[in-house]
Amino acid sequence: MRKIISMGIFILLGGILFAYGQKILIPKWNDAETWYSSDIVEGFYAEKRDSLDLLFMGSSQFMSGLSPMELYKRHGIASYSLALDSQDTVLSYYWLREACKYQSPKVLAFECQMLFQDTPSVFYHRKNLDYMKFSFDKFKAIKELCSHSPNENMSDYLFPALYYHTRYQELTKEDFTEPFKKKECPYKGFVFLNGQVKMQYQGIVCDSEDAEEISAYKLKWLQKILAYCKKKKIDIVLVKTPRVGDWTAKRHAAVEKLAEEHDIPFLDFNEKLLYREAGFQDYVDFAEAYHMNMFGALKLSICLGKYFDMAFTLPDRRKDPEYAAWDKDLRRYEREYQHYERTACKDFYRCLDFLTKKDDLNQYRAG
Amino acid sequence: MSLASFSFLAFCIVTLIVFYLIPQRFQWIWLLFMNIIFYVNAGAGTVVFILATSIISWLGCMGLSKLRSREMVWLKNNKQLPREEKQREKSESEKRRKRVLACVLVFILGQLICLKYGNFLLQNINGIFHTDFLLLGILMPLGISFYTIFCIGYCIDVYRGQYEAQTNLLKHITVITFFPCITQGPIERYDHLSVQIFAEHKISWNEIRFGTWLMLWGFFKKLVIADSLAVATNLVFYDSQGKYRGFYIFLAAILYAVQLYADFSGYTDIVRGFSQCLGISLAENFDSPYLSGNVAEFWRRWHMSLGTWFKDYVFYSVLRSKWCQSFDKWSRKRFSRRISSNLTTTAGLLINWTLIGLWHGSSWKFAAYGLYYGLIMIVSIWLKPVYEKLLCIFHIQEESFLWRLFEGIRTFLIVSFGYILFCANEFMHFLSLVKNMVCYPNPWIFVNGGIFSMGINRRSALALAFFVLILLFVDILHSKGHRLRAEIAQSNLIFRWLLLYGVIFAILIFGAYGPGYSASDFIYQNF
Repeated sequence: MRKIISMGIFILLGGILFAYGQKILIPKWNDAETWYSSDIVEGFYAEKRDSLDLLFMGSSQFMSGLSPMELYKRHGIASYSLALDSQDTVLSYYWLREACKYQSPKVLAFECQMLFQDTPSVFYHRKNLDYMKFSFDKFKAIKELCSHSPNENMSDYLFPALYYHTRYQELTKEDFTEPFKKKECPYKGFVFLNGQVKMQYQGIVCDSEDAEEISAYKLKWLQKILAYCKKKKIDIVLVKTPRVGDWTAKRHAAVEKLAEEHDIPFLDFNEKLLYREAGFQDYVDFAEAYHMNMFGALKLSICLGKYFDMAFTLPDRRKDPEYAAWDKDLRRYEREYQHYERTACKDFYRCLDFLTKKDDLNQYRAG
Repeated sequence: MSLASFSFLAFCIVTLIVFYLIPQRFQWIWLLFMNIIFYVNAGAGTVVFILATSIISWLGCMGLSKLRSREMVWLKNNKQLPREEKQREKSESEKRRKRVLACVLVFILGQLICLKYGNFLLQNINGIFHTDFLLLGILMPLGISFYTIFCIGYCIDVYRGQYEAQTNLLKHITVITFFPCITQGPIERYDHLSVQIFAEHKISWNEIRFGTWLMLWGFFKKLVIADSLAVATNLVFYDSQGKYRGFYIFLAAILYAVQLYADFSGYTDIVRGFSQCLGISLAENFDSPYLSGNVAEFWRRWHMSLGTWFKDYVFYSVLRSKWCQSFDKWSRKRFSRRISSNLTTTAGLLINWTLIGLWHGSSWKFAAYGLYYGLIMIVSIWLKPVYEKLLCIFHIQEESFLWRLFEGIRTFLIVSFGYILFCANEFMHFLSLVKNMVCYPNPWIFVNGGIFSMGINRRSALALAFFVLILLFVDILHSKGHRLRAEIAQSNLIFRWLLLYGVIFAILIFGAYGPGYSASDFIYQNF
């Protein structure tokens, strides 16, 4: 008996050490270069239970193209963007299930880009899954991914230390301290991009009757999302953010058809009218062809905010004392917004405007 | 199924749990089942070859056993007959047994020659006679070199009457296919292994504990040392297109020596550890070989089961053979006793080492690899008097530490040089590696950081150097007669746990597996 107990303690202690070692070895995606993926996920888990009314899911288009804090600021909507880099539809489904364990969202906005995009590389799968808490859903997501890509091992996902063990060569002090820091994501999943690339884009005319085929695999998982939302009584809205290059009228037609079949709204901000109505400017709002910058995100958030306010009865949380922390986050967001706005400013007269404003922000760059 | 994988680990755990849960009399049947699963997993199509070898060797040995017992019965029943008559019967029986043995050996060896050396022979025939024979497209069965010589050893032992043949075919197959030994040995003696497999095993905490520790140490050697070093050696020997020259090749040869040792002894520790968990003790295969003072000693301490096998079944058989005896007589008439004895030994060594070389692989470079050691041993035999004289002239104390250190380094360098031949793709590749090593001296790579351009960066190199030192330290302790596992078991709990955690986490963190590393098989698995 003594031997069994001592073996049990040995395994338990080993497990604890392994878990801590895993936290050290796992990459910390908490900077602009890595699009704050880990902060977004850990920030989500740090949110108060059942405090979110609206969820955003999909790929990086939403990460940089939509700011939940603008929705809170203007309409009092408590929302969070759980969209992550190249979030495959299958992962959106499992993330939705995961999110619903902690929150009771009333509406889900789903970004449609990934319906037409190839299965992303292992790197993106890892960014989507590594910080998800372990659960049966995570296990099923891993199983699903590994059954589709022969190069991926379930053990690597279940025990990320096995995948990242070679990182011992590049560990920094932050790797050891980060696991003990308080987790928060004050921008609620929004990633500031302040680069500006001038595009030649005025939206597209969506008059095509031909629809591009959505792969059966993607469709299967989207339908699972729809079924799950129905079961949980979550309204769903399909959204396509402005994207230059590969978003076509045929793709629009495919999603529109799908939306009609399921009787759900579809907002395509590439559609010429909607694009113009939202006030997008092709020389201001794009960080690059596929992603909007913070200025574009502001316009999209204003526009979507109005839509959600009108179409759904989402509560205004601004006066709710439970949401005092959100007000703090909002101030932080506004400061950050101004900071990024200044650093992005390349127009001489606007820079002068900034100089005349009196506030605590004194860092800016005149281009 | 790679032995350094989670699937193998899971396979072992399942085997172990069921092995101790079922009634003891069925344990060997469970092992037979798992042996077949393991072998089929390696390639279902090749199972037929190992089964054929098992069945033929079983039939042959049954025949040999029957002939011997018939002879005994005849002798018992005819005690009154004159001695000449008995002698004649004995010799007749011996002839019959020889014929049976020859038939069995022809079949077993024929299979090995066809499957392993067929293409090599055809290539040579095509090259010499300008013929155009098509090469065979046969998949080589897993562990064919190992199970073939294991079976041959068994047949010869039964022929010599050292033990009785196994009468139960299924039991015989269980021994031949015993999965821990099938891929890379150790090349066990049939009787030693079969007695243990068919004994009834009770679960023993100590056996499981010691076995697991040995397995961990094996995984450490394989994953942390061997596979990490493989990054550098593969780069220099195979992937660099001649970019690495001079001391890079010298260093890679030394690293390869460590890699091969860690790889092969790591494997041996894994299978010995697992067998110990089953209550089966396998033969030692390594005895700190790089602490040897000369090449002959090195081979007594490296891959010991192969060396012993060749010594027992080839070298002594050659020396005892008729033509060798007559050659010995002929030479004694012409030369002094020492020279004639050396001549006979030389002939035996040449045959023995060429065969050992060819056992490793079907190419001339392996024959040359075997001959390389054979020639070194022959030269050392012939020059022994000169060597002893020189020691005397220079007043060298053979037991002094410095001399033994010199001998150890000398042997290590000779062995490392041999590995260039061992790991070269072919003989011409070996010559080009040696040429590049000798003709482009670049010792500055040791000071200008050039050595870190071999695929292992400074941090990893430091960690690796530390682990190699641990390996050396453990080998030194072993050679001094320490029984480390028993000593660790006696130590206090904190030290023991720290040590175990240290090894486990070293494997998990520093092991060469996962992304960035291509899964590498054990080197000897290819033989």
